Parts: sequence; structure tokens; C-alpha cells
Amino acid sequence: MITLEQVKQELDSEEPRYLDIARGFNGDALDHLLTLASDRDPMLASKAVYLASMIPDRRSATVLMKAAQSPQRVVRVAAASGVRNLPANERSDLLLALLDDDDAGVRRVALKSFTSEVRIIQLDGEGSRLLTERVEALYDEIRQRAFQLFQSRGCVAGFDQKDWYQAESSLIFAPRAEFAEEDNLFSIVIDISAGEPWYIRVNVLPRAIIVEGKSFKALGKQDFKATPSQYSHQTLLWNVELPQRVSPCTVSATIRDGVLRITVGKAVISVEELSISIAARV
Amino acid sequence: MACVGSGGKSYNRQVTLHLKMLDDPEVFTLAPETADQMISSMQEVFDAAEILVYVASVERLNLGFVDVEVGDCVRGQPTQEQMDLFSNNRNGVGPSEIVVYFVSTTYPPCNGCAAHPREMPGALVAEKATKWTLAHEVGHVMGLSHVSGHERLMTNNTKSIKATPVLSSEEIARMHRSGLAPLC
Repeated sequence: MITLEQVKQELDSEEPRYLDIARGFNGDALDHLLTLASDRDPMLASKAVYLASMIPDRRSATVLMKAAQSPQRVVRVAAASGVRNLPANERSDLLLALLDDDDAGVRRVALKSFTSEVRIIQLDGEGSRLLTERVEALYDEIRQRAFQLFQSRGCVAGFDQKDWYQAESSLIFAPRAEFAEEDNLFSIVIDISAGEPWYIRVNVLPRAIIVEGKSFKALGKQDFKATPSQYSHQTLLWNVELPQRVSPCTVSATIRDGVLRITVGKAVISVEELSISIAARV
Repeated sequence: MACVGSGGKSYNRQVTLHLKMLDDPEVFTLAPETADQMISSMQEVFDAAEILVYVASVERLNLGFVDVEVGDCVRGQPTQEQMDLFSNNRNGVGPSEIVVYFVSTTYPPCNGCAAHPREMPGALVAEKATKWTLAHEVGHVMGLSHVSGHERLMTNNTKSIKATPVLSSEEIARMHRSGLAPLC
């Protein structure tokens, strides 16, 4: 059984070796760490919070969440730096709280704790239909807003592109992107800017790639199934129809320095499909 | 020649410190007495080594941040933040002089951290550290390692120190050889 005194003794180190300490402790220490997180000594409290983040236990997030409300800034900074040690599915609420902190230093450390994430999702059948409908609804909304802009200018022609971009940017973040086709693959490069972290989903459909993204600040406040009226500049959407079928298992997506790179291999066309294609052209 | 401290005491050697306080009026400003207490505590310890602690400059730096990432705080392995801080703010300090950066906190939280880039001797000290932390970190910069015994400066738990901590003769010799406490 680990005692409170044992925990305090470890944390009183000038330069605690958190990894080593965490290895020697288990979940038993978390009750003590929860107590110490609100200790009057901010140095001890901040060390307790960070150590809690290193112990793989569901209560670790509770310690950090409590720390995020601390009146002591150094304790909140410890929570902001420890959040990176939690499992991905336990970070969201905590990061949202820390990113809303009044103290710019806490926000800075919280931002550094979160790196952009990208996930690839292969969709077929029902999933593909639902996503396509959602995207279509969004583009309908953009179309309507663009038309309203056109009307508001007395229906003067020649500003179609400008109206579209203005309508689009009022609903979503549609960043600059490059699409390229090579012999066996398609590549897409999207500049989402390195200013803040994003959670990106690359949806791979048989003949389309739909990229959805949320800036971390927007995550949690709305999910990916939000209706167009709930989208914002913190919602990224990028949709490309591909000229031919792709092989979903060949998709790769990476995000680095604010640039999302996607490559997807072209599907090998079967003799049967080729015959149909040739027959259709004849 | 001898160096003379503020109380008129003579010393054979001198360690020169430059204090740089990370400052952001909206977030954190170090109270001057915090640094003063650490300096006088450091002098108490360094008296045994015949080393005068000389503060050559005090500067407040408004860099837009007051907390510094130290990673595992391993000697010779400063983080990128430490590298940037030490490289960009040395401002002409001599190679045998030590820069001490006072920060609101390090992350992960440590009382201080003496990891520094090569040929830029220096350390970070957290605002809420103990009064012995400055001396302890400078001890690291001068080549000392942790030891057991709560009566020693280089204990890994300066909070437990009850009276002026001591330096062993080996530690004093090492400090003298470090090149950071030249003869007066």
C-alpha cells in the first residue's frame, strides 16, 4: 500500500524522474495525488498533477480535470502539460477547458500538448450514402447563400466565384488544396495552416475523398454530424470526386507542419469492368 | 587579489551570475525578494568554497511566455525551448559566467533545471522552488551531481534541508576546477 508520505517524498525531488516514479506506483497512488493536487504548496500540487498524468489509470484524467480548475496557474500549467500523457479519448474535455483558460501561458502549454491527428475511414454502402447526403446538404446551403449574395447585389452577373467563396467561407473553412494524378495514384495536399491543431477524418469512398476536420477548439462543441447551420470556420471540409475508382486499402494520410498529405492508389480494373467500359464507349 | 562581498568578507574566487526573469505583467512577475533570498542563501553555501556570488546583471525579459519546457531535464540534453531561450537571450554574457532564468514554472514541474546548451552555462529556477534551489542548480552547472544526505546542497530534496547545507571537499575542488569560479 502506498502512503501519502511516500508520494510526497518522491515529489519533493528537485527534478522528479516522473517516468521512474510512475513505474513504481500504481492506481493506489492516485487517491493521494488527487489530494495533493489541491495542496497549498503549488510546487507540490503541480508535481502531483503531472505524476498523475503518467499513471495509466482512468482516475488520472479526474486529477487533471480538478487541476484545470485550480486557482494556482502553475497547477493549471501542469495539467496542460500532462494532458498529452492521457489516452486520446480522455483528452478532449480537458483540453477544451484548458484552451479556454484566462491565462495565456496555460493556453500556450495546452496547445503544445495537442498535435493534429488524422484518421482514415473507409466508407461504403450506407455510410457512404449518409456522408454524401450531409455534404450535399452543406453545398445546397452554400449555393443558397451565394444566390442571396447575388440577389443582394441587384442580380448583377459576373461575381459568381466571389459569391461562392464568400458563402463557402461563411460556413466552413475550405483551405487551399492541390490535387494531382500520377500513374498509379492520386495525391491531395491541403494546407490547413499550422496555427492550431486539427482533428482530421479522411473519408475514402469508392470514387471520392471527403476530408472533414475540426479545429480542436470546435471539437466537443459539435460533432461531425452537425447540420450546415452549425458549421463554422473551425470546420474543414474538402470534397473531391475522383476520375476513377480507388483502392481504399492503399490510402495514406499524414499531417505535418499544418499540411495534410493524402495519397490513394488507383484500383486495378478487372477484365470484366474493362469490358463494360469498352462496351459503353462503343 | 581578493574579491570582497557586500558584508566586507573576502573571497578567493568569484562566480558571476546574470539573472534574467521571464516576465509578463498579465501572467507572472517575479517578486524581487524571491531572487534576493535565493542569492543570499546561495552565498551562505558558497562561503564554504571561498566563492563570492556576484550578480553582474538583472534583467526582465518579456518574451511572451513565462513557463519553459524542460523534458526529462537531462544534463547535456536541453529541450528546444531551452536551446532557444539560452541562445537568444545570452546577450553578450561571457563564456565562464552563468545565466539564471527565473520562470513561473517548468513543464514538467521541477524546482529547477540545469540542462543547458554547450558553452552557454546556465539554469532555470522556478518561482516556487526552495530557497536552496538556485545554489543547487548552479552546483549542477559547475559539475556537481546528486548525493544522499539532507544536510548536503546536492541532495535531490532541498525542501528537507534544515540548516545551511554543506559541500564536501571533493565538491569544492570540482567547483574550483569547473572554470566557472575563477580566482579573483
